[in-house]
Amino acid sequence: MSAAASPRRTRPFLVWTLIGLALLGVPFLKIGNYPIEVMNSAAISIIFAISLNLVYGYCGQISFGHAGFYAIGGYAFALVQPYTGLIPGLLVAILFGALIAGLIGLPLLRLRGHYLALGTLAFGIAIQVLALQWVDLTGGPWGISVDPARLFGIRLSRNYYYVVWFATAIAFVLSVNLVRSRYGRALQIIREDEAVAQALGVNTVLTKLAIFALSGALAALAGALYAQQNLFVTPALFGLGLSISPVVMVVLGGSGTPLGPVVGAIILTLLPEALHRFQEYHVLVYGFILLIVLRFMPQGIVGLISSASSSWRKEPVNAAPSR
Amino acid sequence: MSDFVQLLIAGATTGSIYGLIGLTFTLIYNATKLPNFGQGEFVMLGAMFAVLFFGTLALPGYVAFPLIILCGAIVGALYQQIFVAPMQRSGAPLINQVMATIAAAIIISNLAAIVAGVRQLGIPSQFGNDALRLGEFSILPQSLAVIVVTAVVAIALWLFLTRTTIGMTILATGYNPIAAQLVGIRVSSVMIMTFGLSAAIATLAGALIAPIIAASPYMGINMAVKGFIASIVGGMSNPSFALLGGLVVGVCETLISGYVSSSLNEVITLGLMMTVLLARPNGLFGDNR
Repeated sequence: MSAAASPRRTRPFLVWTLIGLALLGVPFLKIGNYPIEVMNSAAISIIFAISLNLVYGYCGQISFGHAGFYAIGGYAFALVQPYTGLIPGLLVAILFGALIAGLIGLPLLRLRGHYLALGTLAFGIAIQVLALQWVDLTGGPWGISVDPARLFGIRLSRNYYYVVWFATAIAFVLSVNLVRSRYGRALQIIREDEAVAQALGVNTVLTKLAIFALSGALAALAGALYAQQNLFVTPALFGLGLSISPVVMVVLGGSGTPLGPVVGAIILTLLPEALHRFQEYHVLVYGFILLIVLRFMPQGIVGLISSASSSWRKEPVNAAPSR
Repeated sequence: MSDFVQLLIAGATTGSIYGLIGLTFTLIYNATKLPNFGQGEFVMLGAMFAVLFFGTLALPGYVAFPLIILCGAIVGALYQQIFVAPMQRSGAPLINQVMATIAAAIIISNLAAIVAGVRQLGIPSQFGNDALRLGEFSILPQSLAVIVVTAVVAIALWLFLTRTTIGMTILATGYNPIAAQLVGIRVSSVMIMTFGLSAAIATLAGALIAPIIAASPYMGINMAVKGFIASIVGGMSNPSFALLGGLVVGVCETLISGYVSSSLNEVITLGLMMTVLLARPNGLFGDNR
């Protein structure tokens, strides 16, 4: 059994190692700083999309207010980073994201379906309004600036890339392992039918709250990484469009699949770069993409590929003796 | 005391608008079970139409208002055909249909921004600027018009829905679409009509507030949120509950900004909505048993 399975298990391992090495090599390429910044943005988007995929794709709880957690992460980081430095700043942001998500999830997650959509939308708007109005803390519309990144006293500049992608790798591995665990299967039962999950002995309230807190923590991490890259946070960054973007990424890539948010985030980060002429219309392009994907391929790119490849493989898999 | 009444009048004005939007929102919600996030875009288009017809073309009110309502009805019917019906026909789950309305809201507001530019467009009131005095209180003609139009629309809509055959087909489709189809109602036409009616009222609301708050292409989502809050606070089961909910929200907002502070007013409104959602999920006026 193990001898037969090993080539199938080592091949993905090999592929991931190659991808990892390729990513490690990128800053050594003779390219300007701008492509590196685009790569960083893609990585931050991946974390943000993974965060939404956990709560929506796997657990079926929609959120149109994830920009709120992103903003909380960004502001927590911007307030703490000048005193503590990069890594503790990121940890504080994660902690705050989880804490606020847990607190707000307690009432919000009692809501179902579109009530949850409305409640989370309202949360996202409320956070932006707070950021704008709580001038003593957030600097109001003028925002807060962040010191350039330093790690162990060394200024990072171009090497900030490694921090961002290391965080992305952790988030990805964490999410993949999580959804394969007993807890991850509980999440997916909740998505399919909450009553069945309860009947099977899943504590649905606690499970949903935990995934919401984890999702909030990841979104806050993305926000903090973004604050460091941007060196500045202001309420205008955290509008409704930012709440919609991870939803579009997850739906486009394939919700409830491990690679879906990665694919969606990369496409939607690179697309505006490729279509320079549409720079100012990229939100409009988002709208059209979301509509077309929802209408014609609701399972997303990864879902489409995996269902196509499984129907292609169906014959041989069924023909072979399975045990 | 006089301040208090003055604040109540201001609250009733904004509350009427929120209530009108909430009413159009629940109208669609009850007929289709779809919370339409694009509802605010109808309001935005109404304000834009007002800028076009009153500002640019300088049409008289008796031409412009019917024209705005007609444009609204057409926009609503097209919206249903483009963004709602294809999703429903393909059997998409409700949450995907909701996301499609969000996509619609993004597309409409950004197209409007391309056509009209992102600046705010103000227009003078169609009803003059001299405050009407009632004893020691005063009210602007525009505010009075908003309150009167809201009352008239609400009563006319109620009569339409309960006293005419067409209105009753809308209600029947909302209660049970399959049964409605069995008794010979063409459900697809009723859906188009519901969206047309809802959008017509929403554009009228937009045209009425254009002189109070300036029109801008991105105002829609805020209007939609106010409409949702109104309908959640009042109750989603009946358009008139949404209207009352809008009045409650509007009066709360102005009283808070009048006596406490205007800066956190939106956060407090959202808090009010959360409280209602958790304590009385079917709204203040809905049946919560």
